[in-house]
Amino acid sequence: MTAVFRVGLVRLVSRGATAPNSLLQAQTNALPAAFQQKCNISGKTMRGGPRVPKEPPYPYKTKKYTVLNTFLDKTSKRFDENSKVICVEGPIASGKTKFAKELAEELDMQYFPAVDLDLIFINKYGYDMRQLDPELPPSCRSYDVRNFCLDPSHDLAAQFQIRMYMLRYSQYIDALQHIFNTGQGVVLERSPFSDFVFMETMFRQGYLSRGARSVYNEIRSNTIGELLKPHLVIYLDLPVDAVQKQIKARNVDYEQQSKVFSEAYLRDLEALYKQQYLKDIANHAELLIYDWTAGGETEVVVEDIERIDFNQYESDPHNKKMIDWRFPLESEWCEARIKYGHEKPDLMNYFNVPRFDVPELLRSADDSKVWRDVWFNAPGMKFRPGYNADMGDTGLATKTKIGINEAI
Amino acid sequence: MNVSPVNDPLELLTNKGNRQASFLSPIWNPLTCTVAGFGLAIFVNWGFRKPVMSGIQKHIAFAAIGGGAGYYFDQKRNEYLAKRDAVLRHYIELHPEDFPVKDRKKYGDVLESWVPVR
Repeated sequence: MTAVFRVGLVRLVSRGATAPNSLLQAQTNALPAAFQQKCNISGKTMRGGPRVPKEPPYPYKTKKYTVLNTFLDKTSKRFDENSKVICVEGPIASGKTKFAKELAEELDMQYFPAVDLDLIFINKYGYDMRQLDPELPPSCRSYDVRNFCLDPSHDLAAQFQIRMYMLRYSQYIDALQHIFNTGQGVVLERSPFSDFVFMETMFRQGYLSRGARSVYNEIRSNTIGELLKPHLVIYLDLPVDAVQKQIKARNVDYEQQSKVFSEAYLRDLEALYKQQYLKDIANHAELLIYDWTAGGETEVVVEDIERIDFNQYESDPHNKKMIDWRFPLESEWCEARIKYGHEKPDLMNYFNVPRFDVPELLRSADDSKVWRDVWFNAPGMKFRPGYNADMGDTGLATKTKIGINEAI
Repeated sequence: MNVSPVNDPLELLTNKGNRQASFLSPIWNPLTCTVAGFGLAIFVNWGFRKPVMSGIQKHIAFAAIGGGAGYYFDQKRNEYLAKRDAVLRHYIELHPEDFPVKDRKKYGDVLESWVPVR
């Protein structure tokens, strides 16, 4: 008897996800999946105009989305055929940035630029924390991609790669938050899923110790399962000598002076990308690989994307492909939306893996004390962002708000 | 204070109005709770890495809630004690035979002298 009520309740609660909008839709729902007609991802040119959102986007940057909001604002209603996560992958200097920007522009998706450690070293007020290096002990100084290129065997290389993974992870959560709240697709440059390729290459080239690699893998296995894998991965393929040529042509000073991008390094990178990452992700995502040696046309790629039938994976609940994106109930859509928005700090907490056996990832207590005193007395670091009167924040006497979805 | 020569249970439970409340005793509990509320607001700000006095309305609200709670629980405690005394007094009135008025004794009269046995 309870089953009757339960089924009734489930139908009532999840009607946003499954209820037919019209009689025609009701008939279509009743038909077998093969008869359903839905379109694939479509570009601007194909549609003949900009994307028209089904529902106005939720202002997730200024407004929280919690359990209470789920009663008033459902999630799946904003999703359409273009609500997809696309990751652009490829070796160094392969033209990912230009391509990803053009792709996002054509598909009307949100573009997320590649992360770098500026996100850590430049604070909310624009002050560059790298200026503090002379005051800090060596174990606490800044170490970013520039330092890595110039001195890859440094102890801090391990911390650098873990931070890169962390930033990619954080950005991927932001991307998921965007797609859940607006229904607009996202285009990312590299992803936390492919980050291990760089760690493994560094390990093979001797820049990373076995212990650091083990810590990285432990952190990765502790965190990566929380994310939803991308729908589509586009790999821009360049042979090693072409990559080296591109790096030369790009002419970034620290890349030019660097001994990191040797043939062996780039070969390892390519092998790991193709034999581990692409092989793995192809179980979940659609995969497009292009020879990008001489660049390429974004329009061609867009046409290929438009031909991919993402709908075929909806019918079989046991199909491994796109399994992360199948939520049977509306409440599950809403829970995922809360998880990647309001609960992002909880996800970032999974990086707290207590490992004390790798010396290059540890700081002594004395060093930490010096670091803390210097770091938190820098301009704009004394209080949390928005509460520093000396940096021009006003209205502090009555201010109680903290940033939306900000870690407390 | 003059001590009665007899031990009368009823008299012990009667307010004779000869006890003067000190300055602090009626305001002590509300006062400490007000200070604790204010301190809590400061602690919360410190924990959230905000300037300790930012969001002053929070301090005022916490202090007011603290003061109110202190006053409320103070009253509650007084009521509880008064009620307890009343219950005891009533019981004694109902069972006077169990609570005879006795002469006051000193310990010296009660205790026997100690004879060490070795």
